[in-house]
Amino acid sequence: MGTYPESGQPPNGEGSAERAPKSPTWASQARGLALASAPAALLAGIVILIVLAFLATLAFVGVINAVFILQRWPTAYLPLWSGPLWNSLFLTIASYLLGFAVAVPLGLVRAYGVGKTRNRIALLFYAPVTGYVHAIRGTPFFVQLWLVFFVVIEAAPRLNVLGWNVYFWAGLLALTLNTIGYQAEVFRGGFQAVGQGQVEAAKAVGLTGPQVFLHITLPQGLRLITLPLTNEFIALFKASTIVSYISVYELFVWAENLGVRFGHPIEGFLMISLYYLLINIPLSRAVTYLERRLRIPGLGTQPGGESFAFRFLGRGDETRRVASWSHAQPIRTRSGLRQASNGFAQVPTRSRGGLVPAGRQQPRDGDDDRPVPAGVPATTAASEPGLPAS
Amino acid sequence: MTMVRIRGLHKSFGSLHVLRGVDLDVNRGDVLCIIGPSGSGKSTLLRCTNLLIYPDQGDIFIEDVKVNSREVRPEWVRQQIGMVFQQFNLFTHLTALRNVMLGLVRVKGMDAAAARSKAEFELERVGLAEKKDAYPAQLSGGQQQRVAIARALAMDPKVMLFDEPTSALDPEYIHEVLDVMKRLAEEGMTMMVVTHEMGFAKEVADSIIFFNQGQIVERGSPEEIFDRPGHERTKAFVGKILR
Repeated sequence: MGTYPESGQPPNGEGSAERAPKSPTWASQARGLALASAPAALLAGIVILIVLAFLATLAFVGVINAVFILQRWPTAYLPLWSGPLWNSLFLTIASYLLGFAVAVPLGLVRAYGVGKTRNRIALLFYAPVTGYVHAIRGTPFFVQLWLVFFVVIEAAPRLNVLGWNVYFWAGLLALTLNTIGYQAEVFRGGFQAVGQGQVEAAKAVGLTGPQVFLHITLPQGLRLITLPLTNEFIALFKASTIVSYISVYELFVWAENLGVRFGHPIEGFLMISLYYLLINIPLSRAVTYLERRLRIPGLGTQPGGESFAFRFLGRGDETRRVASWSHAQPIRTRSGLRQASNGFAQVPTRSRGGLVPAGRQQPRDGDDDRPVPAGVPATTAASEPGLPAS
Repeated sequence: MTMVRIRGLHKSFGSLHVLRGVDLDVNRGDVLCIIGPSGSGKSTLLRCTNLLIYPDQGDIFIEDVKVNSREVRPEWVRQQIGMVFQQFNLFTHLTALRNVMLGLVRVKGMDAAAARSKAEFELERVGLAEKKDAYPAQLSGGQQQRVAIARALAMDPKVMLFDEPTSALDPEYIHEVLDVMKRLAEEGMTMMVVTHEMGFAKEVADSIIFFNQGQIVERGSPEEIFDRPGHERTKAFVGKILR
């Protein structure tokens, strides 16, 4: 014991260094990346050109008043000064966080209130929680908003809160109640996706039920649901426009006012579209980045996964590019690009989950950082030369 | 001295009567191998022993303490009993070291530094000190199973339960797990092993149980079970396996 019984192979594949061809130069790396991102950049460029041409045409025929936009930009077109953007953001973030706090226990009830190993407490709440989730997910948010609004309006005089901005809090309440329903289902899915074997093993070590949840189910489940949780935030942010109907002064109202006061509705709505994009796109990119940084091999999905059209924005996703475009670039080591920058770099792309079934077919030690021969896509790595027969 | 004593154990899943009255004694330091056809209730017997499944009827004693009673916390019982699973079941989001440390910190209440050195010691024992920072997915099946053994050993269990520990392994990795188990037996650990590795059973077991349809058909030394089985069904099973 203490040696490597498999084949006497050194850990982490240090021995493979001399098998790798000469290290890539800066220029060849740049060329490789340029080649690799060329198709995506081309497509993105075409899309942008089409959009610009469309806007230019509208401006030319006078539907959009370009002079108006340029003149009014500093004053009228920066809703930052007057607060609607902050109102939109506050409504979204506050309701999202409140919803998160409530949805975790509701998700627990939904996950463990049913089935062979159901929990007694969860069983007690299962029916009402399920009813709530179905009610929220089965009715339009617009209708829910009006219901909440009138209830709040009825209740407000009795609660002695007339000094408050009741409309605003009604909007926040409606958004929160709505996102609770959706997030609860996301959490339920995450908790149920954690394997029964993991729970059993934790129990066998002697952990109590709450400890199993805190140390096994929650950390594993959360990693599995970052994507749907991000989706829910974006959906909620967009849904926050609807609370404008109960006179909450947020981005949509502001754009509408611009149309009414200045007669330029298209410009106003285009501008708030831009604001939504400027927040949502960096947000999803940040989450993708975080997901990659925090990824644990064998848990969760493959790296990458955000939409193809977004690739041209921001710095490239090296890991995925190397996997899918390796024939186009001279970089030989699968994680060579990221190796220097962080500790997770030693994790090879292929061992990161999805495609590898759990259990016996997991990658073995020594798989890390093995050179990828030029001209062979990384996905066929099983046939790499120099791989010891296993 | 009797480490594990089981009396009149019954368990049903719905209409399926899995355990039909099992009586069993395991002495301190003994290795008991349980063989038998699949679906005969061997795994259920092990899971009942550490209360992952509650028996419907019957008593389980660990060192003369009745463990399936209301006064005993199941977590306490499971802490006394180490379990190794067929599918390893390492915590996928934790490194090998953290897998071993989790129980020490959260169940035994050790501080992080003490738990770390204890965990490193246990990984050293199964020959995986260099792999302590690897995640389960980065380890071979054999290595994962050895980490799982280290995780169970770290809790200083009185009994170790092995539920077909080599059945999910590629043939080339089986011996490294069996080697660890053999050494454990030599060190005097009390073990109950459900296995299809007849070579291991012959070499290491103090006694062997042939289990069929939720009942113990025959119990004896390896020589008795393999060379001169007394029961027809044992004869048929052993004949098939050893052919």
